[in-house]
Amino acid sequence: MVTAALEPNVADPHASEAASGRGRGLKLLRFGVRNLRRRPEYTVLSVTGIALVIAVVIIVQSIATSFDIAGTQAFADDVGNTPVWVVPAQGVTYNPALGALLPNGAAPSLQNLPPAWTVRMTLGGIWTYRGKHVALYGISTPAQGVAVVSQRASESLGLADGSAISIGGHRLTVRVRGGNGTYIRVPAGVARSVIGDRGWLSITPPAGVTGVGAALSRVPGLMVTTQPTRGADGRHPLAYVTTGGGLFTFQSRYSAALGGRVSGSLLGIISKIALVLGFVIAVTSFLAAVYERRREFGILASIGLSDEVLYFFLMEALIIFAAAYLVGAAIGIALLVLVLPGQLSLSSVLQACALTLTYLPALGIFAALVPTHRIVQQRPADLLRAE
Amino acid sequence: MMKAFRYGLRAAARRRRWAVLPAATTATGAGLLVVVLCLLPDIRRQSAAFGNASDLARITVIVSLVVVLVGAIEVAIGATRAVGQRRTEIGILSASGTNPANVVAMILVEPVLSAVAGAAVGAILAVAGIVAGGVSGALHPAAKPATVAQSVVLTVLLAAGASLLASVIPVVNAVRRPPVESLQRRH
Repeated sequence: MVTAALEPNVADPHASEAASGRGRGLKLLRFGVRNLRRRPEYTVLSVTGIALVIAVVIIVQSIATSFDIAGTQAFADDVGNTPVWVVPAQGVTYNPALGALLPNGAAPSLQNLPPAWTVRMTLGGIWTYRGKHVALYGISTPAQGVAVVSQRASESLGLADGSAISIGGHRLTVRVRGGNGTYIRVPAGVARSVIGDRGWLSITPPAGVTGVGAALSRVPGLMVTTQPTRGADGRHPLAYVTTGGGLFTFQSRYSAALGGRVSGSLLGIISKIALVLGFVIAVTSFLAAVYERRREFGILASIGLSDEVLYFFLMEALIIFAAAYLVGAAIGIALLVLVLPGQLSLSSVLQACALTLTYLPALGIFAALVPTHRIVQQRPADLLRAE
Repeated sequence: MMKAFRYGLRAAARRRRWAVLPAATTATGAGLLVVVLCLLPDIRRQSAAFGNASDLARITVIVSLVVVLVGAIEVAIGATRAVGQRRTEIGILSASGTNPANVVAMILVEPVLSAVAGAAVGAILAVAGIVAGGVSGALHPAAKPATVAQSVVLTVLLAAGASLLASVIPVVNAVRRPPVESLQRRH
């Protein structure tokens, strides 16, 4: 069966070398497909098991990537490039459905700040309009009587540019602007009347001031950090110094930390364990194949084709992992659509699929190497004696 | 059928080394599911920190269920391997007129037993971990003993059921094979 599948040029190694790489690859592919079809149960089980693992990894990676991408956009929209961002003791939360950062507590009140420093308060909370949630921000800068509505919010709430909206009894004119989140920006007084005092501070020192962190550390009860991974401790407001930080901006590091929090959560741990189980399934399946095909490999080894065994397993691993990837990606995307409809962007899912694809060659190669190692350790005579 | 079950038990005991890896894989999946089900209120809190408590908690449960299914697939691969290794035995049993349903039951004892044992060990380890975490203060498990017991029973039943379903097709296919073919030397 093996010789029939390989045709004359595999039986003759020199002829095999002379054949073009492409032709040899196609022959190996055909041989691999035939072998997998000879063992349909192993093939289906391996593909299903690895596909389920890939689906898990894609789901978790999509959520993490979504937080990363959307966190970057939300940070740019909601916080901007302020040099110092002071969050309440309760911290801030990223709301993926609204694509917005929201404060969890009252805006901090700071004392002993150098007098020339500019402090701007942003109030934030969720407001419900026509039965739909929207992030409402209160800031002091927009013109009075105007509600700046993001494009997504205008589409979601059905608000056209120039139309009127009533918020907390205040009648405002809608101005639709770009932006990725679902938010409305209104004067602070208007926002306070519906969402209360939840908020954060943006502080800008005068130009040329150095030692921002040192100056802030003199403010009583204020924690200061340059690390976006650090969160507020629940007792003291936390000031993020966003300037400096080397190669990456604070904004990109903060959003990466949001994605990293997903990877470090129980969900992320489960996906890592699933990946290990997927590897176990691949190795077990290939080991079982080795056991069943000992005589076949004994024949190949006895005619000097021991090296070919590695290529056979690599090709079979490639086929199984490629099929599992396609099935797994379809399952993962279907589950994401069913459980988190409309909450993840296409780009985050595609990025997750691409990232997951990068793990697979290493897994496939290892899964093929383990059984091959077992085979080459044995003498052809021992393999041929196998029942 | 009881005879078949006893025969299957003896065969499973004889071949116990082959059951280690499927049982370990099932134990991992089952342990994760028990942890997730018992710590659901904590997971909701953790998910709330991401801004979406219910959906993320739901996806965590789904993902851990999928990991249990991965364990069941590993058990089914073990059953397929067992069928290959016991081909002659299946051939002899079929040739001697044993009822095919009894032969299927005999062979299925091994995967189901490894799944149940693995799931039970995984669930016990998970509960022990949760209790230890609660005692040390690292975790704040809010699950009541009844919830924990329900989670363990549900997980073991799920692992056993999924493993049985995944294993039944390769076993039935092997038993359906004509005895002459099963008794022939392969290759």
